[in-house]
Amino acid sequence: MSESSRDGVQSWTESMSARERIRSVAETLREPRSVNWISEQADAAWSTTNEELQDLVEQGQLRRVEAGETTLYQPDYTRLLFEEIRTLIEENPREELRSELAAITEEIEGWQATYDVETWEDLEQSLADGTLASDELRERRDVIAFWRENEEDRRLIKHALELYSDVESAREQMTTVADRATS
Amino acid sequence: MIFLAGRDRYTQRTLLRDVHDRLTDQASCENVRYRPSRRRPRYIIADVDPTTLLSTPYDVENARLEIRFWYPVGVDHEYYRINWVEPDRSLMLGFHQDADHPDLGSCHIQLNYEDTPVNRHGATFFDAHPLAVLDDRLQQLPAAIDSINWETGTPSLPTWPV
Repeated sequence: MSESSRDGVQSWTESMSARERIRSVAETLREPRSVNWISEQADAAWSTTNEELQDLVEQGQLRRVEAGETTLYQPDYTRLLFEEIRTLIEENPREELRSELAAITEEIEGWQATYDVETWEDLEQSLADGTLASDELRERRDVIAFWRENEEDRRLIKHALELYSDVESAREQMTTVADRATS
Repeated sequence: MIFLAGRDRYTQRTLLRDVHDRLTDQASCENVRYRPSRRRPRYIIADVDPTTLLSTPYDVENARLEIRFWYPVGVDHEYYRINWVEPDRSLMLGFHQDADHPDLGSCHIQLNYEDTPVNRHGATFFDAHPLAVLDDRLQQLPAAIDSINWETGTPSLPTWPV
């Protein structure tokens, strides 16, 4: 590919294959969707989309949902949860996960002090206070979203730390078996 | 249906990784990173070479893209901010789909100069998947930046039709 043709904002149809786009759309759905909807969003042919979705169902990435006459697809959220935990364990030493927990706690404590509240729900109630200026409202809405994300990430990271040793020893056993097989 | 606590957050984390990979594949984007961290993704930030990204000579050397997608409670579509930031001249142009400025509809485009909003216009709400929305907004970005009008050293965004 010449340098000039790579200029500008490449559309995702240029940078990703149809199957990659279908996979991305399907794995990040928040609600069950049809083949038609997914093919339209991914800018992919219906038949390619249908094939790829069937593959993803067989691999356990997607779930099929029957809604009356229609078949819909959604991610397997339980699997997504375990994959997030697995990624956290594989990509991070324990110490980094512990530091991230500390950073989350520190950030939440900062908000508790700044807004004089205990939880994000308390902060949400303060939005009804008619005296807040629009930029203050915006700031508080952002903090509420960050706070919820922090709580959800804290739960994930805690799960990762709890499973860390078990995953490590499972991996060591696999390595030992592989060594024995090759020696 | 089984309720999984924080389910949207797994979806959001997967989505942000896809956004990260998408920007990494752009020839004009470099140093694509997560803020505050890959372990706790909220924003995807990329340094941008404006001349390459806009396909036209541009008299600013450094710019960056700052992208956030999230799912607020009680709203049936995603929120996002897709911001073009020029730190050297304190300029920010962004597509914002959030709870601010409901008078402009679900989505608006906003120009800030020196940390102060200069103009806002309603922008079309796309009832679409976040990755399809991102693609559309990135395609619109060069036209949006081209619509900025500089007069005596001050920028404005007189209109935004899309």
